[in-house]
Amino acid sequence: MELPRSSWKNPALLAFATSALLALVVIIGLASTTTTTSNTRLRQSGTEHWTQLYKGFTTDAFAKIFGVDDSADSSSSSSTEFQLLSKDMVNGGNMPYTYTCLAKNGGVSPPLYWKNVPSGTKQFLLTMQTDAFAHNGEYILTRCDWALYGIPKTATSVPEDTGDSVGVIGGTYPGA
Amino acid sequence: MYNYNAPCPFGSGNNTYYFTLYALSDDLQSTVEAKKETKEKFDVGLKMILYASKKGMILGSAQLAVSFCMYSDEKVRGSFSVL
Repeated sequence: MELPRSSWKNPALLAFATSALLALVVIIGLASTTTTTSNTRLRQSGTEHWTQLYKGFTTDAFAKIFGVDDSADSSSSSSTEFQLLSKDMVNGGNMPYTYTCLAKNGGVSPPLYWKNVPSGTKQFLLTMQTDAFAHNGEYILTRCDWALYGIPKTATSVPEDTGDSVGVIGGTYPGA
Repeated sequence: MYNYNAPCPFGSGNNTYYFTLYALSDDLQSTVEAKKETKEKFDVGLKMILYASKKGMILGSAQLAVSFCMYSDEKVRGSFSVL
């Protein structure tokens, strides 16, 4: 409907039209804000959801593939499987040099502990084998394999530099 | 088991130590004397594993693999995994 040109000069009608336009703008603005907020919440909710899923996946994946959380030490696994662990070894962290074969007198054994022992266990036997390769695939001869046997079933750990404290240890060390 | 390659940008390359714990279903007594050489004791330990394996005495085993890099400053940076 086309208003007669004279109607634009009517102050009452002009005020009404202006008010209606302002009301319309306010309504649209509110609707937009509500929609935006709703979408933001939805996006945040989605992000949180996927973040949680991702965290769950990575944690589960690392736990399943590596047996440990990638950001923690080797004692953090919650698996019920028979496990050998060490609190002195943090994934991606530094390890005492003395735990290596290159240390003086072949180094010392690290502290280790275990959990979820198979039922019926009467004794434990612990070994350490070295597997060292250079970049070109050549074998490094610095080895210090050892075996600790006669560990009683009541034992749940071995201390650093265990020696014969919980069994009998023998090994091949540099110079041995 | 899986192959793990620790980040070794330089130095002597990857080193991996495998700590393996065997749970045995019976007591194995060794006759090795305490004063024997460590190499002899080691051989006894290996023979025990073979014997236990042959007799089906190994109830289970758990392994901790330690991969690390040697640096010139004698610091050792490693990655550790339970296998």
